Amino acid sequence: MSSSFGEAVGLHAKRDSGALLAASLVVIAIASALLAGWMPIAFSIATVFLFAGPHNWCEARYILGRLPARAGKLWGFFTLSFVGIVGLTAAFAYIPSYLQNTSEVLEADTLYGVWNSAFVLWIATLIWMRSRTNPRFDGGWVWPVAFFLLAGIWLHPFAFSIAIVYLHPLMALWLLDRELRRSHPDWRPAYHAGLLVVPLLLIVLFWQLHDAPVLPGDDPVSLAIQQHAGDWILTSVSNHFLVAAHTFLETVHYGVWVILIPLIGYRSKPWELNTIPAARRGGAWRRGVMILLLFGLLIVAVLWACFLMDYGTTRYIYFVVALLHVLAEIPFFLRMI
Amino acid sequence: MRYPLLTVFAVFGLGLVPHVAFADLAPPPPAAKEVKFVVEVDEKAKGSKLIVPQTLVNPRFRPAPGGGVPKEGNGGLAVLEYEVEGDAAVEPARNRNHLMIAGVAFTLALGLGGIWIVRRTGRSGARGLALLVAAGGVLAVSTVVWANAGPPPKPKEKKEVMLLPVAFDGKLTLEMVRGGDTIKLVLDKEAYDAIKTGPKKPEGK
Amino acid sequence: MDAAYFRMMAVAYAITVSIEAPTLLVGLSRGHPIKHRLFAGFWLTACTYPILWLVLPGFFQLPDQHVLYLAVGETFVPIAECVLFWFAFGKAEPRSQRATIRDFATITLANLLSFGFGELFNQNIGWQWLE
Repeated sequence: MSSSFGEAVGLHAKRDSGALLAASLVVIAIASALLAGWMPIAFSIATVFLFAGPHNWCEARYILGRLPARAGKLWGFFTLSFVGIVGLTAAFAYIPSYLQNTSEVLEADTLYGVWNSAFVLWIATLIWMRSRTNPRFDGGWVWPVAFFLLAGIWLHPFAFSIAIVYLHPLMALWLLDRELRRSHPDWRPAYHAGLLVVPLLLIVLFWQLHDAPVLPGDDPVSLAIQQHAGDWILTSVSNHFLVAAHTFLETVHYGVWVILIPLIGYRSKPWELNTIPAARRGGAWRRGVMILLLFGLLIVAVLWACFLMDYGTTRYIYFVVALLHVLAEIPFFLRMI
Repeated sequence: MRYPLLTVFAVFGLGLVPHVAFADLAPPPPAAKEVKFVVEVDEKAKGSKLIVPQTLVNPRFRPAPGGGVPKEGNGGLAVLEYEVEGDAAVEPARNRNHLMIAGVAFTLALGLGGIWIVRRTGRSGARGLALLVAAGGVLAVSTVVWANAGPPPKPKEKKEVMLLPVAFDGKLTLEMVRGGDTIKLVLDKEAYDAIKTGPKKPEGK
Repeated sequence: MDAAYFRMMAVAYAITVSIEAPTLLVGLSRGHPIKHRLFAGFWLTACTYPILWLVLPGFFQLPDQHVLYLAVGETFVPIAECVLFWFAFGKAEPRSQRATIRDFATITLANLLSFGFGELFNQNIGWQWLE
């Protein structure tokens, strides 16, 4: 039986390794907060350039290692997941080009309200379906919560979109916790203690930067980064804090996917396919998984090249397409709980 | 784990209500202050314009409706769309359809939530009632808190002012730019010639 | 609709509940425990209030069609609350047809009382004090 990637690099299943994991998280978080607070735009550019592609690949590798080889009774769940992931991404990509044909800002409110509503109802349906399969749980709360969110969405359509921007990076921390629960449960207390540093650092960033001068930079990339952090809607606080906070969370997210989850969650070295259920079916499935992973590496290299050629356009296209992976995390996470 | 999650999401949804309600209140206009001011004459300009650095005021820049990377304007600066708020006492109109959809969603949330709370086997009434009252309490308290923040500023009563001679009466482009510390008034040839001829007496009312 | 409208809605809800909850507490049939009566007093009004205040006004030209709005609203609300009450408690607790009729009548009476008080409040006191 092949050793896990973590064991291969010397990370053994000992209790003190939980402290090592927590310490790694703390170091990543502190370094991210310092750099993000000091030079948010430059750090955002650098971190997206370096880690956007690799973190997607690591995520795909991890998901492949956890997906069942056959859908079986879960075919309905996986079908709805696939339809939602592709459909919502396509709709999200289409909205800007549709809006460019009009000048009505009100239209944007309605369109993003519809998209956000579809997104919430998709998740609610997935949770409901998940609650009906083993291990079952009472999913009756999902519909009231979903409709509360819908009410909030239609009162302020863009607030939900901005909330997703800030909440999505936390998904990685939650997934790591679920992985620890499965593979290294005695590390969880140390991990939970380490997690406290994230809200603490956010508070420190807010304390230091909430009334800082507006970020300089008139170029399209700087403006895109500021708008991504929501400075056009969250106007009561300095955009220096917003960009710093968003960049900090994104970097922690990248750190978890590129460093921590591979060390803990891969049941083998990344290039070993034996622990990927789909690949174990053999034949065309094994070849398909291999091609997918190799194609993913190619995409990472192409992404780096495109960033070097035209960072602004590549960044915009990446964050539209990357919605795919954000959406894919959701049904995957639901299967882990 | 589920109850804290439920509470968090309910609070988020309910908490948006007073925030949005309060968001209708326009921020007060900034205090008056001295700034650098330059009047330039550009005989080749197609129209006059007033260039105001964003650092001197506090406009909100919305992303261009089409989204995407902001387009480049002259000199590599991005072209932005901005909202210039008019009368500070006037609250922006809310989309009636959005409000109706939100109302239906609230009703469905409360209705389905109540039925779920009541029908849960085992621990039913007490915890569920506490959850519902807590959610309602958040809504009520936050609304009252925002209510205590004060009413929207009312339009100031018009006072009689002395009408001054007018040196220039026409239209110009208001342009907000990032960076800089000087407000520039760029006059085209026509506007400059009009100013050179001298001010006109105000039309009395 | 602005911040003042939402404040009005919250205050009106509190006033409505202060009338309807005691009515339900006293009037509902014996099969319902006190905690369920109390729950219903808050919950039923909370469910129908968004429709009455946020949805229905959009279908009428107010204030010209104020009477029509009230007629539709105050017909919808008791019916909706009776349906909600039945879904929540209709199957869970043993009841007879007589008890069901009593429950529905109590809910309707509670709504009529709060409606009547509301009209008196609007005419004699109004909402200027809230602004």
